[in-house]
Amino acid sequence: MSIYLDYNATTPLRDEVKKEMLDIMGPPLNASSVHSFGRQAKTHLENARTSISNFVNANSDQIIFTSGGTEANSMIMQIFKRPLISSIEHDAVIASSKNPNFIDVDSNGLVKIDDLEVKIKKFNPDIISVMWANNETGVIQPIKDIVKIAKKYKVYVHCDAVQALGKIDINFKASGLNSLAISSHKIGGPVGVGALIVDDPYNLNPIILGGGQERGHRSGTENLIGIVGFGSAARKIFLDNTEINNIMSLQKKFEKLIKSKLPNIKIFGENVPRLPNTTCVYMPHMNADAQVIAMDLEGFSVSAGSACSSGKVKSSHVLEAMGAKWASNKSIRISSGWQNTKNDLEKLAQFYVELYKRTESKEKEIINA
Amino acid sequence: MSNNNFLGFNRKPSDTKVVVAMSGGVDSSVTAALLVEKGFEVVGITLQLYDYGKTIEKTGACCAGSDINDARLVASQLDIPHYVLDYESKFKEQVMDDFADEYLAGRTPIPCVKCNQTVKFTDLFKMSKDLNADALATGHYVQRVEGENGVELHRGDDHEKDQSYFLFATTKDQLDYLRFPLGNMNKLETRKIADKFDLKVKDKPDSQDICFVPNGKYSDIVRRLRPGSIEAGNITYIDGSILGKHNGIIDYTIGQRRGLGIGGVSGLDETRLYVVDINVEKNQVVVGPKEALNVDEIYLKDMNWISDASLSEENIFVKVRNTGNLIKAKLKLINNQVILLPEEHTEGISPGQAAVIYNIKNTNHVLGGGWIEETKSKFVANHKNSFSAA
Repeated sequence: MSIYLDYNATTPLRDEVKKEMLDIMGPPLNASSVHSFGRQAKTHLENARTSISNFVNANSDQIIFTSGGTEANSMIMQIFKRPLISSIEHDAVIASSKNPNFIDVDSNGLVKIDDLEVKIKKFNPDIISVMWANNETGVIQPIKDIVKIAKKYKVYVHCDAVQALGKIDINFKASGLNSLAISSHKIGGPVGVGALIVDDPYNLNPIILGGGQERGHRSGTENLIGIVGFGSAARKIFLDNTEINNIMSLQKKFEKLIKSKLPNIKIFGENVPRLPNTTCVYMPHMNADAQVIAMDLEGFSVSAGSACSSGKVKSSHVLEAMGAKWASNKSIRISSGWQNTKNDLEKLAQFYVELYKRTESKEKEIINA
Repeated sequence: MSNNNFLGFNRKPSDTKVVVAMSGGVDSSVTAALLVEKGFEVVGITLQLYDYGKTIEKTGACCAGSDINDARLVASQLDIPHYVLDYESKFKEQVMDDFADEYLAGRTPIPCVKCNQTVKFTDLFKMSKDLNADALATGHYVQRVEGENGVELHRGDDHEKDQSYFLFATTKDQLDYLRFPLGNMNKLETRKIADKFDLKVKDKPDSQDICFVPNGKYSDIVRRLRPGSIEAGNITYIDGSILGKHNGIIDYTIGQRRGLGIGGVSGLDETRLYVVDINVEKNQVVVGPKEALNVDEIYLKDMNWISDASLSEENIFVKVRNTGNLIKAKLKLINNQVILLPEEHTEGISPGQAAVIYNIKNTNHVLGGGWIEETKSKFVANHKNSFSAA
């Protein structure tokens, strides 16, 4: 059995989540129905909404369930005409932005606040979108400062918090953001559910029309079993935030181990605030796709940046934006989670070092030959 | 027989890691199946070479989008790890762009050789070595033979299916690492094995076209890759007289007879005219009688020798097209220029194609080959003289 270290791609379904989902599976559950089954479904739906609203500190009526993070981001981005987005956004934001302009990031992967202000003046954007934490490097963005600047120029500000949720505190009300996108399957819930959280839902322009579910913002019979799973995962993390400390100590141990053996190793965003579970690391003599395959053959599931649907590895636009084009197709991401043990990360560190040294010596052979 | 395993390694198959290049076709699928059956540690790799959405829909060519899925299905059927590598930008730079430029230069390229030379046997090689694999296996119908002077490339047993023409540019180092498990089989046997394993691709037709040129319409691809660089010009007779117009030299290949679009020219029977030359400087398509296609000298460049044999002046066999016969020829080396003098009637050779050289003593043995730079014809030379004299 492979050791799974790709939690930023998706997570295993938590046991308690699975149980709650199984418990409601079976009966007909259309929350719009008048009868008793419908009322029961509605209760499940609203309980889940409450769990999410507690988790991110938003009002229940500010939460719109979607099919996932991508839809939540698209719902917002497609409304605006002059988006200004960070150069390290996820494809879900980039692809749904109309002719976006980009805010630069520094070599640590942090959005440059001065560039944000320059670009606002230059492009007069109608929306600013910066992710809370980057999916590839884990670097946490200065959301507070970004919101402050956005407010100063009275620009709408959206945040893709898909990767940050469950790993660091997300407080929607305190953030001052206008909208926030989150996803269930990154926190131990099922795939196929997410939410858009908006301060004022009445500015929205629905992309799916029909029966008027989610107060008209997102039609279609609710994915109730998925939503219940999402709510359950949110509740679990909200009530018990100790697991992330354990993950952080494992991840730190891993980094320490590889650094002790490979003193020149490059870990991106090493000295800035970063998600506790994410390490993006560069290996000079091996392409990222080869690293991921070699790891997989050895029983470690990791990835190189964000995967596209065909499963092919593309070079990282995030590292390129950080001025590290040289590393953009030679870096992989290791993202751990609650099922990982100390042993998992120790074994990975051992193999990583072995692979690094093996390819380094092969490269030397070629040069000497 | 020694203790060597099926692939020639002196150890158990289960201790031998082999990467199989899986295109999703029958041949490479059977290759993988055979190696799995023999107990090797098999890793399947499929190359994504271009954007399938943007390339015209097609079947019957290798490496299409659905072929990647087929490779995936077969790998899952065989229960082996399988990966898809993105070589789109490399393939574009090293194969497709070269393909377009060659046509614009009046030559007829063979992208399959370029692909073998670059993405397949350079990049996939590095990948296989990075993965600590002992060998890279493909479904080509050629044979790798351990000869007295090291490893040799030989034609596939089934001469109808033989693919040695496309592999002449393989280096000795590459050949050392490569394995061709289908080399001693014929197509029928391969199909039988596919049936035996009940492979999902067992009924798939063989690939015919160049993978990114569906239906053989190569000029469409060149026009898309190099818009604006194709100009109309004249079709002339070998004496220089103008017979008609063309819409771009890329629409013509040497030896072509049909569709010249110069009907009704007085004194000349169009059905007896062939494209005999493409003059890039003048942007002219030159036509002439069949005799003008005769080739008496073939000039080669970028030679690759797989064999160590000395080749200053030798009797050899040569293939100037994949589907062609072996032609007896003399090989001359003058100031590092390799010139082939065919000793049998040879006609209609396009620059840009390959000339692959086989051992006169063992016609299966590929000695090497080169790219055809230029050909010379006594007939055309004589006529040119008589025309200019007149």
